[in-house]
Amino acid sequence: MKFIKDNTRLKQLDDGELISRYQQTGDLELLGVLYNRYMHLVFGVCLNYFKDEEQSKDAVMQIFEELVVKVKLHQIQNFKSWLHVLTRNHCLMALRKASKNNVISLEEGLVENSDFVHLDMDQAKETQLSTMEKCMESLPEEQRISVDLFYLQEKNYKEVAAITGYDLLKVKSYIQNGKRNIKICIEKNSGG
Amino acid sequence: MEDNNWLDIDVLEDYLDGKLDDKMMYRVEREAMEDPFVAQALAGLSQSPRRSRQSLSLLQKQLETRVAGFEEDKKKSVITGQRLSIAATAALIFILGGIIFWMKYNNSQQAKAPSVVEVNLDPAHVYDYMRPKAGWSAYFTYLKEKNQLTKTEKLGKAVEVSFTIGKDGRPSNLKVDKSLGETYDAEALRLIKAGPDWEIPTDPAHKIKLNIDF
Repeated sequence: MKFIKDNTRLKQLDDGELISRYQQTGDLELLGVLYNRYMHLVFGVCLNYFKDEEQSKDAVMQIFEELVVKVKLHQIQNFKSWLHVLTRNHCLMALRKASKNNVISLEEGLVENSDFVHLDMDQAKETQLSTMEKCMESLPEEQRISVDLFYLQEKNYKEVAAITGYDLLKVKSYIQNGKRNIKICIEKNSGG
Repeated sequence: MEDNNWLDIDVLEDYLDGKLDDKMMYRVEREAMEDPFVAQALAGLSQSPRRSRQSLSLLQKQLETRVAGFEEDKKKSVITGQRLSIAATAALIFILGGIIFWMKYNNSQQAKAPSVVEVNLDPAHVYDYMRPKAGWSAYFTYLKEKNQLTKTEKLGKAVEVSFTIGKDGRPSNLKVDKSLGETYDAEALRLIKAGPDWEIPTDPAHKIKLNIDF
């Protein structure tokens, strides 16, 4: 880690505290400590768009400059997901500029996706055990087994593949799809 | 505070290199399943093997320098005595320079970029594995070059099309969300249908929205 000096104290602060102190003081060191926590994710996302190391590195620093201004202006509740959106938009804008004529809308490239809606399996387990079990049973076999191994027995993809004999690449989508189906099923059952 | 920082670049790289033990591997996968930011970053890093760690430490240095640049300025202005006036003048010049630079920078930024960097705060819709196989840049170049209707004249408007990607990597279920009339709609659909392959999405139900400019 590079920020050695005397900012170990700052590193103890959580994102929200760093943000509100930065908003009050404008001290870049606070923002630096904050950004340092997620820079590798920003870099990874940029690589995902540009497929180019240098362009991605430049983007990482440009995004920091955006933060210098924007963090002061916005009420930010969840910095991490806010930063993800900002990063995506930055990359899409850069690609859009590069292509000039064919404008990509900011929504473009975004999936209307429900996979990542947070499903707290542990909580669901306690409060809606029976619904949950019913929903699990309604899943296709591959999804049910994969979800069970991943969420309840905490096995990683490789282990799930080894135990079940499923293709490693498919395991991930079984889990994703299973999770989504359970969520839909629970919503349906608790709603009615 | 809960330890949010365990998932650093070393862990991600070790995960991609298959060097983590089963427990740790699970933690990373669970995190990626819950957090689109992590999942997308992993997808990006996996395409650029080996050098990310090095790039990251370079970036950390750059960030440190950037942050420290303003630090020194702060310290200078704290020094008392006769140096104060010199320091103050220096600081003033620095600040003025900074402002002028900032204004220029800002202006040129505004001139270049459309000022619509609106940040959508809903994290539920933020993930894309969906992209053209050859990457976005290549795809845009294709759209630009093959558009038959913008050769002579540009309208400055766009047709909005949404579609899904089939298991064969081809667009299907194309739907015009915002029309510019039959001719333009047809060209937009043609471009997408005749265009390059897409990466096969994790979920065939995922939709993508594209604006084709005319």
